[in-house]
Amino acid sequence: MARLYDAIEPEVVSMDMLQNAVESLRADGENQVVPKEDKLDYSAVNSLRLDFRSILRMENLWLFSNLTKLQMDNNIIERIEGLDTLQKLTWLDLSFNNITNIEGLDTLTELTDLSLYNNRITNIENMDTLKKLNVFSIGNNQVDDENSIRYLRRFDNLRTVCLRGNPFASKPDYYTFTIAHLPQIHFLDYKLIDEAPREEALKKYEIQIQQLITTEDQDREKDKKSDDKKKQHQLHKEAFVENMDQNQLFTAMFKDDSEGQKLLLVPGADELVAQIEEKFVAIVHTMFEFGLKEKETRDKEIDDFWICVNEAKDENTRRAAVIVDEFKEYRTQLFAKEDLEQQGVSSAVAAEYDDALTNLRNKLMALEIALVDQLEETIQTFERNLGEMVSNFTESMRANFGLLRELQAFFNESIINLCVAAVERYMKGELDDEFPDETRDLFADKDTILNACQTSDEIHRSKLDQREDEMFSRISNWLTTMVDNIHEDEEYNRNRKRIIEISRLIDYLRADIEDM
Amino acid sequence: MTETNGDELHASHDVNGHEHADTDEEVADQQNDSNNDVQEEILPPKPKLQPIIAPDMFPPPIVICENPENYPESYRTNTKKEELILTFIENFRRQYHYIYRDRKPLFLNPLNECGLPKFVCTTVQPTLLSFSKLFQWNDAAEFVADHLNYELLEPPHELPKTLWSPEKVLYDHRGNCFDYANLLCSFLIGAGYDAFVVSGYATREVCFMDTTRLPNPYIKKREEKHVERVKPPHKKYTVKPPKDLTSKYDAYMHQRHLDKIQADKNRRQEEENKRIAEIEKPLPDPLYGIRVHAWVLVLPGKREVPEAFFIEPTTGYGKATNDVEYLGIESVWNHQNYWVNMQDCSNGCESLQFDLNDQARWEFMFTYSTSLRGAVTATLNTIGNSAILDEEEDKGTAETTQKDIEVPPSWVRHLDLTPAEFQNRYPHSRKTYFYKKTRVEKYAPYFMKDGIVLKISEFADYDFKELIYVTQKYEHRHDKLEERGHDIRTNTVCETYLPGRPDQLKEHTYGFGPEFERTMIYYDKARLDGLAKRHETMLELTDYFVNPRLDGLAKRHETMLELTDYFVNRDDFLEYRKALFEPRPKKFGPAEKDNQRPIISITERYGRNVELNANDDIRELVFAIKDDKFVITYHRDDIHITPSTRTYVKPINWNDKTITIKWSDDLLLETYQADEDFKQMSKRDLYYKMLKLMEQEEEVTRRVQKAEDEIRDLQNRRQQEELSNELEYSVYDTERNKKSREYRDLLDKRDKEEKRKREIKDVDYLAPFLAAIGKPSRINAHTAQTLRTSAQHDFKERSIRKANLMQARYENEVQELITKQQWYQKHQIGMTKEDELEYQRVCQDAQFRLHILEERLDRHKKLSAEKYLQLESKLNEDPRLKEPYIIPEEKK
Repeated sequence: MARLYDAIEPEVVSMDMLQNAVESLRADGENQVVPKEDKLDYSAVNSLRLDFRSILRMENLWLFSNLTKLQMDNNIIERIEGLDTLQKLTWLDLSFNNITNIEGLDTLTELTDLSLYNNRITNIENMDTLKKLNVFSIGNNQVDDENSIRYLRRFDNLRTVCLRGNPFASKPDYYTFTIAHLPQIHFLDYKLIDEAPREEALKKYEIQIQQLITTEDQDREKDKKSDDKKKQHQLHKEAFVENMDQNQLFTAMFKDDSEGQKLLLVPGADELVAQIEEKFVAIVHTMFEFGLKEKETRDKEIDDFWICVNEAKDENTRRAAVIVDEFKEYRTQLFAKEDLEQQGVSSAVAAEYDDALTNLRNKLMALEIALVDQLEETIQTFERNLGEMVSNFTESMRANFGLLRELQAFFNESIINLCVAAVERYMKGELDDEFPDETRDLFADKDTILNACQTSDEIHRSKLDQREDEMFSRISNWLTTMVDNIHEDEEYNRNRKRIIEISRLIDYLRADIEDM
Repeated sequence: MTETNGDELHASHDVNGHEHADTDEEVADQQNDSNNDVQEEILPPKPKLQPIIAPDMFPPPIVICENPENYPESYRTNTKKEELILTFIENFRRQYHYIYRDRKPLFLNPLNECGLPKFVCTTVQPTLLSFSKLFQWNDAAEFVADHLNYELLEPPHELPKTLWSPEKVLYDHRGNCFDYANLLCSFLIGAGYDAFVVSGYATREVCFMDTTRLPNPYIKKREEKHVERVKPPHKKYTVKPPKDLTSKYDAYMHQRHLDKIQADKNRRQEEENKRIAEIEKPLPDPLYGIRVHAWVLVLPGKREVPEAFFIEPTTGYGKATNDVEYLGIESVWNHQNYWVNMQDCSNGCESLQFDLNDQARWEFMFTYSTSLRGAVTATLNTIGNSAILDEEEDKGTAETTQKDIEVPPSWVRHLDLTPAEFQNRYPHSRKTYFYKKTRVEKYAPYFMKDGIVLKISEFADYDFKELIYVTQKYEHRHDKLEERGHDIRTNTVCETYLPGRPDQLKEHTYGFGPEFERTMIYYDKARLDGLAKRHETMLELTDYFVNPRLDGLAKRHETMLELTDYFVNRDDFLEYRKALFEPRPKKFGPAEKDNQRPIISITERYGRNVELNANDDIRELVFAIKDDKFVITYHRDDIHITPSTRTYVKPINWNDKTITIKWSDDLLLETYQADEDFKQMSKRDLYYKMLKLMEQEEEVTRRVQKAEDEIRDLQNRRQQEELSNELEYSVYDTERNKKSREYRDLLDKRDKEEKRKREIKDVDYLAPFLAAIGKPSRINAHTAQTLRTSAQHDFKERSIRKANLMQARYENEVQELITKQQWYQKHQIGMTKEDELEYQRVCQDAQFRLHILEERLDRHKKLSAEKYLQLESKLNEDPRLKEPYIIPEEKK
């Protein structure tokens, strides 16, 4: 902090300030050989300097989406904020401010240089996403914590760290501790670290570092596992068979079914449930496998389609480009002859050129029309094939769901039988002590138990229906979206773009003779 | 050539055998002669044909060399074993001749250079020379072909009477086909091949080593690899090709037309081929089929040879065993055995089988005790079947034939070549070959001053008159020139260089005359600027104007010059830079050297930089210097069909450095963007871009001028290099590299010195005493003690003797001096001044000598004690005087 806080009126990041800052970076100085542009194009600026300005709040910067370098040193900033949209930033200088916490840097994944020199930071934290960090300056702050140093271990690309001027740096074992704990850095406080002290330091802290490495490895392992799991789940979801690889569906059927769970206390129900579950899971598993296989065939089909479509497009573009190149060659020759005369284009040549231009336009258009026809046909075929695949999938799944329902019906029947038998025995007083109290009234009479069974059955059925509906609606949605997109992009947008390009070209070329 | 098969042979044997069973051998031989009188007309009777048992019955030796005493013993005399073998051979010959009367005599025991008959198998001396270049059969064959000068057989249809040792052939650089085959076979067997010398018949072309009908073996492979584009497999969604609306009938007619042209062309080509074949057909040969020739047969089995083949030793070519050039085989032999061919050769060698163990096809001379060829002992084979054997037994000769005999070792000394001789390779270090329309001259390295090793001249005609192309290969040249090809017709020269030139030149093609093209290919990886190729063309443009102009000029003559540099692997993706120079009216007189030609335009082409957006990545940059324009063409995006372009006009006052150039909208002449979505450049950016372009233009112009200078430099340098054709010597070539040799000599010298010093150091005190007791390998403790004391004693004695000797000399001197002094005192009065001076000089000398002797004696006394101690400690440490008293064998 270079100036007294109280004496200065804080400035606001205003349009004028930004405009000045942008202009001052341009090197033409006072000569003004280039006319000023009236509008400031924020996205064209990639470097900005806002230093020594008494700025208090970092604001109004969100428009500079292509900014790679931002200097805001020597202000009176207290919080890091408003940088979320500056995702291309690689160089950020916030030294000589009044920042107390590291925060708001999460989106700056490209950042390599970060300077927070001379602030009031006590903890190094909230920087997990800055994987590319290379130079980090945190000197002249209030860092007094071993954990902050350990925190820096996670930056694999970190090479230079400045820590001096912190309370921690005045400790006697500061240097050895730091170089032992940060093996990836080459420069500490802008001085090259020699091999010999590094080895000594490593020896000194061998045990602690070993422990650290072990815990880090474990964490990494855990992260990897959860990552894998997430990916797996995503894959299953794309195959529309998520949560079907184990008994999730079966457990879900009983989860919301409080009545049913009570029913399971009936003697003999355990075996029945186990038996049913086994069959149920087997069916669900075949569905799961089938789903994955279907996805694979679908993916292959889609890949195949795109390869062919891209090939056709490339070939067409190439041919059109050749035609354009040939025409340009012709044009150069035509005008080269004319130039000798120094009198502009003669009318005969102009007429010839005009004809050639029309011819060119026709050729390019013909190519485009041919491509549109080709693509249309191919897309139709693809749509038909994919539709067949989806309906095939749906039918097969429906059959399987049918099996599941049958199984559920069988289960229901069996459980009713068991319950009726149990009720009868209960009536006879044979089962007095076997029921817990809360279920006892359920088995009081036949009607109640039958009702309970029915409710349970309905819940189970609705669960199955729900799953089935979800699956089918999602797959049909997926199909429609994809096909619509293909139609939109490949047939309409592409054609439109090409046509515009052709007419642009023709207009541009025609200007040659219209000037005359 | 007369050939009979086995069955006929036996039949004839039966008839003749009974007839002559009891007759004298001489009579039988005469009978033979009369039977073979047809042959006699061509073949004069040879001394070999006489029945000979004892060596003294050989005809008087034909002395071929003037000084046979210069040859080693084995060349001049036959050992007993050899004589025995000769007897056996004679026996074999007689039997063979007796049974197969109508066959030509075999090549069995020709005379060697000392006029002594030697068995051909013993003339083969398997040798492996210490040159890796002789290890492969084709290299060895080429070496033999290169190394010798060919001599024809005289007369061509007869076996030679002599066969020189391969040693003499190697050193004399000449020989006939038998010598060639013998030498090559020696090398090949030495290198581990299963090789044989073949005696047989061949065509005139082969016998005369006439290669003028063979295609040039050095012809360059000019065919380019035809790259087949693999069509991707038809996929499910491949789009249908657009409808083909062209007429099929038209295509058909067009194809028919093309076919007709092609057929016509083929026909003409065929006719041409026929004509050429007619020209190249050799003239009929009256001696066809009876021209004797020798070559080499290599059988499979060893050195991974897959099948039997011939090697023509005179040219070094490998040939198939069914080659039409070879017309028949009489016999084959190696250093161990001799086989006579029993197969019908009326079809040439086409149907011959080369399984030498097959007795029906190959009659061998020695049966080996083991069936494997290669065993040392062998039995002499008797020809034919047991029928003869029985007869022989009857005559009591069976013991000799059945007895195990050995082929004696070769009488030829080991072949040896010095590296220099090997390198000189050709007789007189050079050799010339003729092939079809081609003359090839070969030179040994370093033999010619300009380093030429091979010169291939190609001619258009068969008489070597119209030269069309000359290829010269060089070695060890200082300017790294490797090959120069001169096309006489187009008058262009193509030179290739080895890596290592300061300008990294790899290939240089240039022509002469006003209209020329010059191409320089560089080792681009060695060049910092990645220059791979530089191309310069000068085109003569002649325009004829139909309309006569005001000045009446009807014809304009100018030279256009284009200079293109091609680059590879550059960081800025520059692919080539092409400069177009202003045409200059032709001037006569000396060209102004420093005058840079004015440039019309420079075009730079860049490759795609994938890191940049295609629309921002420049593909072509044209500096139209004459028109004051810059034309930029960007790369084309994959989805677009047109590239964006931008054209700038240089401001009028661009050359004036004092004025700051201001932007005006006129400066940007035109812009074309392929897509409206593409970013528009702001005026400021455009302005800076233009400033940058102007800077770039200067830089590029400088580079082009530099390139021009480099070309001129190169021409000058090449001229200088051509003039000072020095050869360079490898540092490993101690024979030639003077520095290297000096260094080597120095090292040798130092080595020797060291060795000598070491020897002095390690004087073995015990050696004489050990020798005295007969150098026992073990001694006992007592002897050790004796040795020790005697060594000590000896040393003492020696030092005393030495001291005594010095003492005696000292006393002598003293005595002499005293006498001299006495003499002086006596004659002192009557002495002249000269005498006195003389006396004083003598005295001084004597005193000096005395002083020296005194010193030496003193030193000896001091040192002898020390030396004695040294000896003692040495003897104490000597392992031979300690347990277990073993005297190691003395090393030489």
